Order: sequence, then structure tokens, then C-alpha cells
Amino acid sequence: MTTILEKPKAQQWREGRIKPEQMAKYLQNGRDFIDDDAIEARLRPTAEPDAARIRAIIAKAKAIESLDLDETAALLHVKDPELWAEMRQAASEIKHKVYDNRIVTFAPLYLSNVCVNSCLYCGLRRENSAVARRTLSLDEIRSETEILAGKIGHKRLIVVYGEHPTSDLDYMLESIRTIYDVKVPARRGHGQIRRVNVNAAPMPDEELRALQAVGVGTYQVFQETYHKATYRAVHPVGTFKGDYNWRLYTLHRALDAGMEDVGIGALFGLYDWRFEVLGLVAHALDLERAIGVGPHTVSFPRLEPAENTPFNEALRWQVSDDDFEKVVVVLRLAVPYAGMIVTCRENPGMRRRLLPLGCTQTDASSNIGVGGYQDAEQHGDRQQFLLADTRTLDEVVRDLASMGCITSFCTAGYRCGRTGQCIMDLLRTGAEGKFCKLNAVLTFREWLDDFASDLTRAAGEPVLQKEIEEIRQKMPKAFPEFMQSYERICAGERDLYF
Amino acid sequence: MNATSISELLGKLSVYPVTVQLARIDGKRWAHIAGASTTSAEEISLPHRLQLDEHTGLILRGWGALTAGQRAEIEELLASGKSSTTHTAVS
Repeated sequence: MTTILEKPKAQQWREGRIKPEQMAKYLQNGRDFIDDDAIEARLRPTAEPDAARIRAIIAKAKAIESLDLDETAALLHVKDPELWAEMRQAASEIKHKVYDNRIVTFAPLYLSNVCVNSCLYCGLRRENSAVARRTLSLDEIRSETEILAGKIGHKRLIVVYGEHPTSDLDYMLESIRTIYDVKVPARRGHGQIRRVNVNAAPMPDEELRALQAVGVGTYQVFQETYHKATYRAVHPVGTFKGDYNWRLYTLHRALDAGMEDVGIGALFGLYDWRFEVLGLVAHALDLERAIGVGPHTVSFPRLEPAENTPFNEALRWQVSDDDFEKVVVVLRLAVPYAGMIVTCRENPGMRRRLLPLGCTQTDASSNIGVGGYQDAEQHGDRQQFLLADTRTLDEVVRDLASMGCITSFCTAGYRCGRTGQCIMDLLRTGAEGKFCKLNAVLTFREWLDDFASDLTRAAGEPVLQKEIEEIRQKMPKAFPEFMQSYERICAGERDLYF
Repeated sequence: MNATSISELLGKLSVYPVTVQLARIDGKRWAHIAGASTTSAEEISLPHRLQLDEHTGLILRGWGALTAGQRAEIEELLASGKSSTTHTAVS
């Protein structure tokens, strides 16, 4: 019961939500790390870069070293088709060196679509009366999770919350605990979500620490656009999201709060894609400089149509498919250790085109309507935007297998100490790939036995056998223990990992 | 568990052919704090997780290669510090 002396919960939530003092320590000489003028200067038309210099930059990336902004800008200036072909080849090689042929899958789970912000491009902006607003109850979250973990077979979710007092920290913590507690029988074993990643608005340090303590995987906050004038234009002043620097330094603060794995991202289509690429690279570099750990993942969603959202219908900075491919290639070279996420915003053809160039994670069976998994249809009036790929996880796994890729449901790293700086070291040296290879096979075996259709199982078996043979040849010391674990999985045990 | 007892424990474990990581436990996350930060890919083995208290755990690699006697010694070692901690094998 609220007494006259107590502030209503919503008012408490709003007051002091943005705390400039918490981000001040990350500024350098009072300035943030995005220097718009310096970035624009790097993007001004210039002569074709020297091929020898570009090849030296490619070689640096292939050594799994981060590129600086000048090096990244040089790549963006390349026009020569042959050099682009070399860059695509290098991106593919880096992907294979760090992540081999593994693709990690996940699903988004929107828990609320109520939001206090007014972002012009977003279907969930508060003024959009065409959207049916909803925040899932814990029972509803349990039901959604039972479908995702028990029928589809996902092990990893990204949960998404609107910025609103109804989806405050307490709600986030309870919803994440609820998801982790779900365990449902599957064909042979059981279904369970083993890693919950979070996409949520910036929050104060004390809330970040509480979110970290509940055991989240990756915490994502996308800057949307790094270009300050555009940021101001699409995020009205006076809204929480209107504060550029509060958002920009959220992941610095999250890492300092103990989060360890953070995901950066930009929404392509709001401004010049080349500027956003440099913004993302600047973000990764500043995290490395300030905290010593770069981003766990990089996301680069393209702006999509949304219900009753005219802003998205005539975009000046719309990114073509060819330019979008360049986004992926240059990011792969510039931040070679990071996971890269391509989502169901892209159609199946585009996803097939981008995956070999450096993407490491993708979603499937996705539904971004709040409560959407229970009816499995897209509802424009409940969701942030419309999806271009609505294939099931079973179909995507089969498609990946036809491309020679193994779908990994591995969530081991963060449950056995391979986190933060430790995982960065392992990724840069290629050692993490050895663990991942073993875990990919074990989790793929689980998934084929528990969830795959006959068709997908038939497509997946040859991929598995090829992987097992590679492990036998390349990791003879680990092979016996690996095979023991594999046999235990075949016999019905679950969740064994290296 | 305090820093001194953890440090003593790690010292005693150093005689066994296992790599040991100290981890902070947050829900499902076992986050690396110290020890073997760059686990060699040559030493890949199933991790054996021992929860020392609500927020602290040890991740031992090479557990499978220990003799039954060595495992019992380690179990006893951890049990002997029970005044300051308890431990539970997680996997």
C-alpha cells in the first residue's frame, strides 16, 4: 500500500534514472570517444588506397589484432573489386580461424512492448497507438519458454524489454529466474534454456550489478546511431533515450559492474553506413582501452518496416545489399575476435550470403511479438518491426548443414570460467575454438536426438561425423574423453561440456 | 570464503595434476577470477566444478585423470576447511 510519504513506484523509477556522475570517469578530457568531425574527415573522398597498405591491414586482421580507425577507414575506401575479393576471403578465413564452421543459434523473446521512449523509427514508440501493449506475466513467460526450450529446442535466448516502470529491474530479475527454472521433457532428454542474454535500456550501476548477479549471458545495448546529430533527430530530447552519452557508456559501466560479456550494435539505415561501422569500431576500441575487454558480440541490424511508422518508409540512408555485405566484411576484419550476429531481419538469401563472411550467430523460429510463440504468427500490431525470415529452427539447421556448417547450441564458456578477459585471450589465440568444437558436436547431437525432423537429422548426421573425424585427427589427446562424453549423450545424458 | 583460505587451498591443490580456476558464481555464470586464465587447448578435459560457497567456486580440469585416491584427498582437503566453507560437486 502506498502511503502519502512514499513515492509511487513509477515515480521512483523515473527519478535519478540517468546518473551523469557514473559515466564521467570514462570521458577523456571531458569528451566521449566519438569525434564526429574526425570520423567524417576519415570518410571524405580520397584516392584509392595503396594496395600494399590494404594488404598489410588485412594481414594484421588475420593475426586476430583489432584494427584502428584509420585502418578501418582505409578498408572502407577500397573500390578495386580485386581488393574487395581479398577482403571477403580474409573475412571468411578469420571467421574460420576463430569460430571454424560453427553457427550459434538463439531466439529473441520479447517480454514487454511498453516503452516510455519516442524513437521515430521504432514501432514500439510510446505515441504509436497502433500497437497493442502488453507485459508478460511470469506464467506467460513460463509458457513461452516451454515452447522455445521444449518444442523448438533453443538453449539460448535474448530477452528484450521495453524501457518502462512495468518492466523494471525487479521484473527483469524475476523473468530471468523464471526462464532459467523451466525444464521440459523432450524426445529423449529435456529442454532447458542455458543462457539468457539481455537486451535492455541503460540502467544505473546498482541495477547493472543486480542484473549481473542473476547470471545473465551477454548484455546488449545498441547505440542505434553513433552520429550525434542523427541521434538527436530520432531520439527526442527529454526522453531517457535522448541522452546519447548515457547510452554510449552503458557497456563500459556494465563491464565494470561485473557483466563481462557485452554486445554492441548499430541500426543501419539511420545514417551513413560507413560512419556507423567506424562508430562500432571506435566503441570496441574504447572498451578495450578503458576496461581491457572488447565486445563479446557486434550486431548490425538493418532498419525494417514497422507498423504505423512512416519514418522507415523513405530512408535517405537505406543500406543496399552490396553495401551491407561490406559492413559485415569490414567489421569482421576490424574486430576479428568478436561474435557477429545476423538476424531474421534479413531474408534467407541474404543470410546465406553473409554467414560465410564472418557471422557467428543467428536466430531462428523467431517471433518478436510479445506472447508470440504461443500462436507462432507475426502480428504487426504487437511487434517492433517485421521479420524477413520466418523459417523454423529445424529448417535453418538443415540449411546450415547443407552449407557445411554445424549448428552449435553450446553455452559452456560462461558456465566454466571462460569469460571476460579469459575468453578474449582464448579467442585471440584460437584455443577457444577447440573447446567450442567439442561442445558444438555434443550439443548438436543432443538437439538432433531431441528435436530434429527426420529430414534435418539426415542432413545433420554427415556434418557430425565429419566433425568427429576432425576431432580424432586434430585433438588426439582429448579424443577419448570426448568420445566417452559423446556416448553418454547418445545414451540420453544431457548438458555435458568441456 | 576469505582470501587467505582460498590462497591456502589453491596452494595445497597445486601438487595435483589439475589446472585450477577460481570463479565467482552469479546464477549460472561461473566467471573467471584467477588461475589458468589461458587454459591450454592441449589440456582439454571435462571441467569438474566445486562450489565452495554461494558466490565462489573452483573449476578443476584433469579431474578425470586423477586416481580415486587423489580425488578422495582433494575432497578431504576441501572438507577439512569446512569451518570456513562447504563444497558441492556441481558436475
